[in-house]
Amino acid sequence: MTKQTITKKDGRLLTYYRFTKESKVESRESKVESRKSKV
Amino acid sequence: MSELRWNPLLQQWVITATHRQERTFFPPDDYCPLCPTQEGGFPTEVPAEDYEIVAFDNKFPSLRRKAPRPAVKQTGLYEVRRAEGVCEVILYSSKHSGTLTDHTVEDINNLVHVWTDRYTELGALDFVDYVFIFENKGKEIGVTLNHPHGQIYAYPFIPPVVRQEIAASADHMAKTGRCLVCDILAEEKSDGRRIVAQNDDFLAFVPFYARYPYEVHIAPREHRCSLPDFSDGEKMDLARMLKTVLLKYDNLWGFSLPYMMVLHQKPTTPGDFDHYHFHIEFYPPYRTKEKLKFLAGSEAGAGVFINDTLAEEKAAELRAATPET
Repeated sequence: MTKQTITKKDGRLLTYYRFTKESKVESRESKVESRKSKV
Repeated sequence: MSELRWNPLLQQWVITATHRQERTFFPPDDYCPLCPTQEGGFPTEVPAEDYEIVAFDNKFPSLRRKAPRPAVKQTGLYEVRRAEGVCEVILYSSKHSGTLTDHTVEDINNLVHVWTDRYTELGALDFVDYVFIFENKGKEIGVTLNHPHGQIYAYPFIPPVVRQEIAASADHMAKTGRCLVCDILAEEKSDGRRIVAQNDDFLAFVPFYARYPYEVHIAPREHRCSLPDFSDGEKMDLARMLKTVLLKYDNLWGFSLPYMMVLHQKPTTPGDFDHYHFHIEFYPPYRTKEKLKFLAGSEAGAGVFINDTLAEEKAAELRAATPET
């Protein structure tokens, strides 16, 4: 099990728990960030 | 507005949380705030395309990590405190439909590991005395979101029901030198009529003193105080037992049975609680296939439950429900 805690825009905490090796979890916010950086 | 108000008559805290009146109430299935956020879609509580299990701070919490000042001043009689604590939502999966019953044993085992981690992490907060993990399932219980989920309340005090169980356990230990729940398990095993299911590490039974007709308790055979005490094997056996009980509930009458599921474990505040024995309690609100059990005058006003059924007969019904045990 792995976990990743993020702080949401409104300050609330959210923790993702992952159990599979190839997790489908991809942060929508990080995706937006990566797109921005490409621009 | 949110605060703790002391009830000097019952010697227990009441949480006021007026903002919870505004919480989301049965949104359309395609506007679920607990589903993943889809590209081009509305932002949900989870800013990811998919997830396995997620825990997050409730948007409408009764308790807050940084609690505001109480709206009223306390008096000599009426004590008031900030409603400090944590209220979390645990999403069992990104799939919108279904219930915990539909999850595989492996999925439930993953959830048990998450419960263990949340208990440890929240219990380490200096303002948290007790980590209470629970699930309200079904509209009959007052659930307002269909997406399968549970909750955690990390209280700044030990809640009264658990406080009473701890006092009874301590009293029994002082008198006999033994754990109360260990003795209850021995009695249930000896009698046998109220056992619903058992495996290597856990026993599920309708307690002798059941308050709800289909109330079921699950307890480890060995003395364990809280989830971190369990080995990985015991966690898997707990997942198997949960799956068995959940299937029995749903197969009893052929519909997904609503329930309250609560985990009772030792407080996380310093103290000697090693005499306390972990267990899970289920309270389904149905007394027959068509009839609900209501908490009425005697239950709500006097604290005396009237059970219209015999635990021995209800346990036999649950044993016969698929998977037969």
